Amino acid sequence: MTAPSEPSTCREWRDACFDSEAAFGPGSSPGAGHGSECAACADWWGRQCRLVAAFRDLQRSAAPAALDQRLGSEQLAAARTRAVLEHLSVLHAPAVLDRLVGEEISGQPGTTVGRFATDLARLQAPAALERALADSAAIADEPAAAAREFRTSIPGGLRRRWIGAAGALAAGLLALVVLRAGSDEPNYRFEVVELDAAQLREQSPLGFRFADAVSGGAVAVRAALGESPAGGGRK
Amino acid sequence: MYPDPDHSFVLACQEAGSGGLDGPFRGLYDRYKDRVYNVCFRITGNASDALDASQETFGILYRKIGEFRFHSRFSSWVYRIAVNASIDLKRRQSSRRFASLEWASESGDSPGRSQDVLDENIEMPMASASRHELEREVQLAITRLSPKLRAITVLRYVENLSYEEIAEALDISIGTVKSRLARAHDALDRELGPVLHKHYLG
Repeated sequence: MTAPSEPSTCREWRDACFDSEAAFGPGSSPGAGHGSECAACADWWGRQCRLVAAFRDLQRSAAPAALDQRLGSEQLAAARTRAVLEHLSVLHAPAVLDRLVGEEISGQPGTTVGRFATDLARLQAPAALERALADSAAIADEPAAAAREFRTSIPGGLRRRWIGAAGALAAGLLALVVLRAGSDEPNYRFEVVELDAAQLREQSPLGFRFADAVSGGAVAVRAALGESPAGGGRK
Repeated sequence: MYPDPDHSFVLACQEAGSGGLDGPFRGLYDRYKDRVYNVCFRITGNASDALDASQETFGILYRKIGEFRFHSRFSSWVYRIAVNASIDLKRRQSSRRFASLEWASESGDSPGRSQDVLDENIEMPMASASRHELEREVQLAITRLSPKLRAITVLRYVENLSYEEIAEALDISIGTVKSRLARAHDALDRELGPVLHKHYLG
């Protein structure tokens, strides 16, 4: 690129100066031609000579002794690391790897799942579960104890009268329900249907999975064993 | 294949494998430690960084010398590693400084104090006050060049390498060496013209 205020010959001449490695050095000159005819380029030549002289005059420093020490310690550390790595024993793959890889690449789809499922650790129930069960059993016993206390604390005649009144109330409610049975309210009815697990899996895969999940996997096991009936569904 | 003056030293190192500075590597280290240190000093701009870059350069040489196959002059390889180590060091520092400047501006630190970090620790050998001042100006001008122009300038004028050696060390063509050198001269002329005029012509 040429500066706008500068004729292209100046730029060309200056670029050409860099072709010679001796340019701007001691004893070099711009030579005849453009370098001596153009005052701007002659001035430029002088500036470049001073620049190069300044660089050549820069003090050369000797490497400090600290470099020796640093490098010595670095190489010592490197040698130590290499020694450690060289003494690492080479590990051989265990023989079981052959079997595992063989199973992996040629076995049935369920092989891997079966291997890991059977290897799952069997956990013992924590003590906290036992305590929680004991607490819930005690809570369940509380209504029975309260009823026993109620029976023993009320005289027999009064108790019989209360039971009679409660029976009459229940009979009345039953009659009311029977009378309202013809109304338009929806009639909810449930029918229990027994299905073969394998049949359920064929007819309703989603229902099969649901039943399997609810039963904790028992449905799938039964389906696999071909037992029937194994699952239940409700319509 | 070049008639490499370091050929026997390098072969001895490769055959010995290791041995630290007490082994054959010592010969190469002694031949190059001042040259490497000067290149690193002029590119990084201070003694502390020059020491770090020199250490890294010789560490790389020591670890990789077994892989050197004389496809270029050994000296070119050494200079290339030294230049790259110095430029990498400055690049890492500038990215850290950028992060710290961001942190400083967020924490309300004054920008003037942070800017001082750029120029501190410049350490120059001094023969006279005037010369010391010139050295400082020249070094600052070098530091302001881009890494590529800085490397060219240092190899050419501090290490006096030929165009061919520079091209080999930096893995560029001789034409690129010339054009980069011309650009470096332009930049340095703008920076240093008045200072040099005053120093040399009074």
